[in-house]
Amino acid sequence: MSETELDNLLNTWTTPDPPPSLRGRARAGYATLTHKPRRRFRLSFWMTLGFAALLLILTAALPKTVELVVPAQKIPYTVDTDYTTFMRDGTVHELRMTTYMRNGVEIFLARTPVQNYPAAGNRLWPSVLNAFSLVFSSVDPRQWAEFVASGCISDHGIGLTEPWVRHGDAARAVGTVVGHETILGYRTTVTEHVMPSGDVGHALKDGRIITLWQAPDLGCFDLKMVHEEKNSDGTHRLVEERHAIRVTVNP
Amino acid sequence: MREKAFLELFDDHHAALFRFAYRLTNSSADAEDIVQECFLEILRPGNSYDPQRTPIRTYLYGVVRNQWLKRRRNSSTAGPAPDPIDRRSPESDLLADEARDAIVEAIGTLPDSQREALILAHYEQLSLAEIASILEIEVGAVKSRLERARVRLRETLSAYAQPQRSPR
Repeated sequence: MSETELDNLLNTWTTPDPPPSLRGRARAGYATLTHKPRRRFRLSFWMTLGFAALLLILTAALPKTVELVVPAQKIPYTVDTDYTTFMRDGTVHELRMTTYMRNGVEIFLARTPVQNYPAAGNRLWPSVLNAFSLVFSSVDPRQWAEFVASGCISDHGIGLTEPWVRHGDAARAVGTVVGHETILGYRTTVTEHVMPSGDVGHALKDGRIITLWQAPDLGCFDLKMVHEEKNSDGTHRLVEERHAIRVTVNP
Repeated sequence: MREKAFLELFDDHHAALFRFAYRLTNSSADAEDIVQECFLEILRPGNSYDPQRTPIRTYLYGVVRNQWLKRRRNSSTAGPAPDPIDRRSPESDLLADEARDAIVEAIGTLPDSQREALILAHYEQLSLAEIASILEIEVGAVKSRLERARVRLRETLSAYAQPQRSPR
């Protein structure tokens, strides 16, 4: 038998066509294999649950945040303040803000850059600042009440409101009452806090002077503040200052 | 893989795969099952198909072969009953039917290694390289198996030698 004869003989073995149902079977198999069971809970459900859990943890761990969300007391007054920072390179940053004092913590209601204020600062929401202040402030309301009752002349006034002073060197944060002044119709106590050169406090060092004009009738709100630093030649350089431009009672 | 692409793949290859499976099993039912399983295999995560290394046709033939081997291993009997032959043809075709039966039987008695090589080469007209890839052997081994298969078939089918028509 030749190769051709064998090929011809082999060619007589034909096969049936595949049944049309085969395509339907394959399609059904595809549907079975690619079918994904519906998730019992959607992703949004878990995200909501996670957020709720986070909120619960935050409020449980940091009760002060509740005060931020639901103010416990009516805002008694607001103060519009111009705040200016003088940089070493001569740049001046200006900011206008509306705030009030609650138990020694300054609560921001509005914050508007006036000129050259850093972009990062512009984007900071007052609520973020408030959250930071409330969460990280450890002002004791009772001590603050005593400070206000004293007419803002207690030795530890600045130590109560400025943690870096308190933690740096509380003894040197003691203020000296240098007088009284009326600002926008409110009597203020003027205290000067001198930080000697060589002080190792966190932020107040190298001979800085902070002068505060605090109004007892406004919960010792700083209606004015001047912050200077001492140069090596003995002269002083203005670092920052703030002064109130309007007080609104029962806003 | 989207359903449309899957069905296009099916339409392009299922007929050839069915022929191959049918000639391996000599059973339409088994051939259907094998072809269906073959196409579902490429949907399963972790399948071995690598389009960078293997053409899809070669891969699919390989899956059919593996399914056939798997069925043979799992089968406790000699295999499924072959499809019944329709013998209602005219008397003039009886001789051709007899020859075809002899061919089926002769191919069926070949060793598996020779049978699959012969089917892929003669009926599916695949190249030696493709067959080597499907059977996972060297091209030389494919040639050797084909040669041995044809020698054996020539001996077995010598009585039926006469010019015939093309397959399919």
